[in-house]
Amino acid sequence: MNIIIFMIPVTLLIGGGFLLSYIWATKNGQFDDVTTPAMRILEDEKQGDNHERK
Amino acid sequence: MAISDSASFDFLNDERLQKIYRDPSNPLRMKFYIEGMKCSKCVAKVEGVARKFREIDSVSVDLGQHLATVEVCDARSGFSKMARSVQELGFKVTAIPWNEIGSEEWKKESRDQLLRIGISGFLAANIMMFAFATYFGDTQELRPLFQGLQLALYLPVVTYVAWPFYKGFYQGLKDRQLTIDGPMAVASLAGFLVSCFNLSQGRENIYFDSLSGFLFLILVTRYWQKSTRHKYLKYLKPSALLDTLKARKLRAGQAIQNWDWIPTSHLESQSQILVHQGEFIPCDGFLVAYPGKAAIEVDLSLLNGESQPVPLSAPAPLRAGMRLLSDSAVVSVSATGEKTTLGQILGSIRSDSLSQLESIRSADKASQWLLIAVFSIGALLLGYGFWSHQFLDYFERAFALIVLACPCAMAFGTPLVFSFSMKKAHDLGLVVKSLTFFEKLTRIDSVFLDKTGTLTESDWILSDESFANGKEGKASFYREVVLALEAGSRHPIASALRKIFQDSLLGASRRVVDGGVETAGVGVAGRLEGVFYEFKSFQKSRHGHVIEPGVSLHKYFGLFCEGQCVWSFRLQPKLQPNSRELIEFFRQKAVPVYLLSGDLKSEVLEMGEFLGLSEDQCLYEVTPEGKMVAVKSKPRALMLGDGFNDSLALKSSYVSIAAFGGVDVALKSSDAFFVEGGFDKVSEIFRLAHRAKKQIQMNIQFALVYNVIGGILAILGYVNPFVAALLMPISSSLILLGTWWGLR
Repeated sequence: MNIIIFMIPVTLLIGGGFLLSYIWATKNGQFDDVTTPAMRILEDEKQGDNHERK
Repeated sequence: MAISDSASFDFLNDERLQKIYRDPSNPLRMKFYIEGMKCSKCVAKVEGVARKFREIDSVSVDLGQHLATVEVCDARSGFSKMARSVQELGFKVTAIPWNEIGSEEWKKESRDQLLRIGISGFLAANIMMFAFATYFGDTQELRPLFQGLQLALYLPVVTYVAWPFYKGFYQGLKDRQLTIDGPMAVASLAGFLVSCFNLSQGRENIYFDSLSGFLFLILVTRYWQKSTRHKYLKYLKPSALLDTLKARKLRAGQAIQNWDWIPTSHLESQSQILVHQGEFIPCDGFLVAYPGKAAIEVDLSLLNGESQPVPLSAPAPLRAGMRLLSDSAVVSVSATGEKTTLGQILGSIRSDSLSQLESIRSADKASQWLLIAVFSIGALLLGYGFWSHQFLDYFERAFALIVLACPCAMAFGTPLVFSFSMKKAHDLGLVVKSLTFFEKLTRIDSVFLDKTGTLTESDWILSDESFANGKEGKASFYREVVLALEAGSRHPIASALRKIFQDSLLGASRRVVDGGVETAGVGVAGRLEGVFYEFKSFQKSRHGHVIEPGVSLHKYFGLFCEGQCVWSFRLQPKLQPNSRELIEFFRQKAVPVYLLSGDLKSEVLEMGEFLGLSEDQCLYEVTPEGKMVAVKSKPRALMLGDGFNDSLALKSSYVSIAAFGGVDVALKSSDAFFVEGGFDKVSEIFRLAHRAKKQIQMNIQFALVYNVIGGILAILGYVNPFVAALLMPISSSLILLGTWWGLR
């Protein structure tokens, strides 16, 4: 049974970690616009971008 | 930049600070971002503020974007009073600069909601994990630990997550109004207290898991509904026309043939787009020169009513709404959508608001009654449960009923229909000023058509040509003579003749007249190669040269050589394509059509005959005031006219559509304006209005049936609150789908 006492904080810690990263992402505007990123794939990369730079 | 000062809003009384926010073209107008609006009831509340204060002229709300445009008559106190009293209604108010659309505030509101959703999701999932452990085979020693953990995780739910519900509940109590937030707030708090009590007594019944899961679902639903409104209600205003346009975006650094269609709203500043002949330029920008092409011609008629071609060369500034007359042009984008000049013109048009629509008001009333019915049944269920000692079971049933029968879908359906109709109208090239347009169009009792410039094009055709005996062979010589006589004239007839004769005389020698005179109202005269010619209009009957009493006369043009008429003809305006079909359409719908014209009786009757109209349906020789009187004689007349010359009649009719002329002038007097072409799409618009009306009724019926069936199932105990929370957004989605299908 001791293992459960150990597991519970671990679960909460892992979950809490993900929650914190979610809060951080939301506050930084990660979910502000969910439409245009899907369209951006159709755009061409600007000249001088990574491709030729091998 | 936006200042939000919840305390006083006194800063809005300051002239210098007002400058940041107000409409630069109208210092008495300002825009506010209103956070927390959910349905057309909220819209009515916010707009009702205008009635409370004398200083506030009008408030009009855009529900999709959460914006309110305010016009005051006294800027010294009007704006701050508006902001303060809307804040007192329980909304969060932020003044925003005129040319912004509140996207910062929208972002903030959305982030706040997403945070709440994420946190409540995390808490609900973990509470459920521990709850499931106590349901399935835990050991007695671990049970208090799991229950304590649930309690600990529920604490942020009852404080932070459920906060908006408490606020809504409190506001509802203050306004003495039933709100859906009330039951949520009560459930969250009461559930918490009951569970804590049971926990302390060592009983089994604790509800942290279902409550937190339920609140999470409701928050998700609300967020979804808000996004759907934002997405689908944005067509409700005239300026949305520019958002429906798409553009050919050139691929950077590639040849001009390489482009992709993208919506103009996703164009970035300085990206380049390609426009083809006959198309409108969809955004503001600059003309870009590309090899072999530095100059273009555009037509500004949509912007200022002038249809003369205007030559431009790179890097001339271009405005959205200009129509390209040259074969193609590359434009470097500087502004799109509402930020363009045309967007601002359309944005400043004062249109009716949602809450003024009859169908919206009746839908709101229906949903208010539904809410009252649902709450009463809920109270009865609670009473019965209390009396029969099955309180918890019946509380659950009442709660499921209230959640399921929330009339959100009903309140959402009607604005949605109007939004889709607006989009459809935009696709047909019609800018609609106010939404009442669609309602009114379904009720018209007569149609008035302006003749010149509406039924007829600006081009003329030559007819009834006749020559004096033996002069038939000189047709092209006479044409040259007429052109020479009219060479210096600016009369519309002169330019029409130039246009007609130009093609047939290509390459012919130009003749010059000696001592040409133009007499207003009569014609032109002059000497050519020693012979005196006159070109003038006169009246004669259609089938002979003799003027007999009682025979209707027509206007003819004749060329007189030394006083002798050698050549005569009529000039008749070209009918717009589909004019007959248009009149036939209304005849089938049993709506009488009247022709209004200032022209001569004979001309109007002749056209009426051609169009299949009886004599009393043709009103001839009427002045602009006469047109107004005619239109006013029918209580529900639809007036179709050109935006420039018929503004009086357009304004005084029940409902009106204009075509031609500049959009801002036309929309001042009429309810809708065809951006392109004439009235050949009126029948489609008419059908659209009727379909919209039908769709509104269908939506309400569907919502009623859905709520009644779901409600009965909930009362009988077949639906628990959890399932109810899942079913609630489904009814909204079904209405969205049905409306899309019905108006596709």
